[in-house]
Amino acid sequence: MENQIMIAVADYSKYPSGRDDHDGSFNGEKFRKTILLPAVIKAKETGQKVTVTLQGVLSFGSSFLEESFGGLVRCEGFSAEELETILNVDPGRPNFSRHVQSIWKHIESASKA
Amino acid sequence: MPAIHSYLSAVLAVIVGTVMAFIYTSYVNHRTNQNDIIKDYLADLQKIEDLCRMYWLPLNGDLPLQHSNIGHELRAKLEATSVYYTLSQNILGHSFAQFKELDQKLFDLATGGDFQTKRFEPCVETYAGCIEAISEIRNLLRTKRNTMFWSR
Repeated sequence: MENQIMIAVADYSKYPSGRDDHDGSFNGEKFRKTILLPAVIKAKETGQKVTVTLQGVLSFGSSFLEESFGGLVRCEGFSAEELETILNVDPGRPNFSRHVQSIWKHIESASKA
Repeated sequence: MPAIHSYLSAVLAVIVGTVMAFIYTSYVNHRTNQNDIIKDYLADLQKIEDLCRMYWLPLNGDLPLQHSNIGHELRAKLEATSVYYTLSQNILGHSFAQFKELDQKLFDLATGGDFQTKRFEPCVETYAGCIEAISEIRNLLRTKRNTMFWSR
């Protein structure tokens, strides 16, 4: 069994945006519920790691990132510490590291709220 | 007839002169290139500032589609400028840590909250925060550019 579950955000959409279904088809809530959450739950059960790669995505908005990743804490009940052990975010290219920082910032902020 | 060492001295002087000229030209080219990157970035920051104003402080007459398009433009421009994130590391040196923080702050603010959502509302605070971050980035870049006096 591989010790990591790979998720490519670009497979979901190259232009993900918004929070929920009101904001379009490729929103953060849908990404979290259909792709990210099942992978994180599986990883928690099996001791695997989830690697999310941002490669191939054209751009992100904070609302999508907050809803997807911050939502894991806010809506799904994970703690920031748990996610630090389960989740690994790969920027895919050097200039996407601002998004990786943004993701961890949203997770941290959600855990403090 | 001049002694052989006279020729050798002349040849050596030419070689040393050529090497020094090459080093100097390369150095100036390198600095000019860095200065050009800073100029391009400053121009892009101006565009981002304009887009932030249009997006976060929309005019009453703006149609929803127009506003949505400004959002896409702002998002694309912010993404395009992320290329400077890598380039700035070499140019800004010890100021890079501060730049990184400001760049992050600008991205989070400009695309934060309910950016590109149906619940969007104009926000003076967000606009003010964006302008503050942009001004601080400008200040860092201009301070750096002032040290490159030979390539201004």
